[in-house]
Amino acid sequence: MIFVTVGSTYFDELIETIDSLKESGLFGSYRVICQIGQGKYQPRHVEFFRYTNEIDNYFKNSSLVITHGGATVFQLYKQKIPFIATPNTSLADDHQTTFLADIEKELKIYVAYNLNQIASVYNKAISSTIHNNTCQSNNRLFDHLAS
Amino acid sequence: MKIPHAPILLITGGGGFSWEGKIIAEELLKRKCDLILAYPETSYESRDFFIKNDAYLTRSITHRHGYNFINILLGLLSNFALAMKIINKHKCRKIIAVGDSSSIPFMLAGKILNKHVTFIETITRTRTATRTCKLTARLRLADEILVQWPTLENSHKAFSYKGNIL
Repeated sequence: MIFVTVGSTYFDELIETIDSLKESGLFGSYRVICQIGQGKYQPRHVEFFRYTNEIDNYFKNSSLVITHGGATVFQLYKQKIPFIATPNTSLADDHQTTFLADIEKELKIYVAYNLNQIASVYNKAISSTIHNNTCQSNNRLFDHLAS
Repeated sequence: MKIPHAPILLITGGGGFSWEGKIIAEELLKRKCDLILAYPETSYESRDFFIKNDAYLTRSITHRHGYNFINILLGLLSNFALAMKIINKHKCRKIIAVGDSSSIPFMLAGKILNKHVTFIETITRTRTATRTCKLTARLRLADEILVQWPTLENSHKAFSYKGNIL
């Protein structure tokens, strides 16, 4: 399964791109499911829903997740689930582009900075394995908050 | 580390903020903190965790969720009343806010009741702060504002970096 998630807002351009790529055959026989949030575009070639309380189950059952550039990136990285992140540039300050560029310097992740790159990044990401040795619990911050 | 007895109130925003709030809550619970949680209805991903921990439900007041001015105002007032009730009832010693504008009334209530208030900026902000974070700094709603990237620390004198939630 390939799971696509846009987070709590909307990212119609991503869903339209995925719908089009599925129609063109890029994802082969993979079942594609999209979480579309508040998006207006409803895909015709893939399954979709708006929100779920069980998104972790979708992550765990996916061969690849295609996600907006939000906190989901860390959820997937910590769980070692292969993913492609793409920035939702319509959000405040276009901060997702900066965020992904900054974490790409620290972590080995796949980023499609524009939607046209998803197809080319897909073939690398679908067979990738994540080694997330850098994600260790940060005791300093939590000890400070607990005190 | 000795943990004081009085509880901490942890208020989180929706969406990705609630994931960050959940991680912080889990770590504080591991440290045997007495924790009171509050989350908005838009915390889809972490809802089960908050329900399991008897969290209070707040109103989501971000404009992205289709709320108009009246609804935002009512949400602010409703959350403020809830915050006063929770802090007084549980005699919270500290307020930790993670995320969006839903947390502003909680920080305000914390300041009015002379509690220590900490605002944690989302981990997704590496160079520019969110509007809520900037507003928190401008109105001095928090005693400390913790950013999760060293690259953001120098963008405002009120920001400090003590690591991140990963």
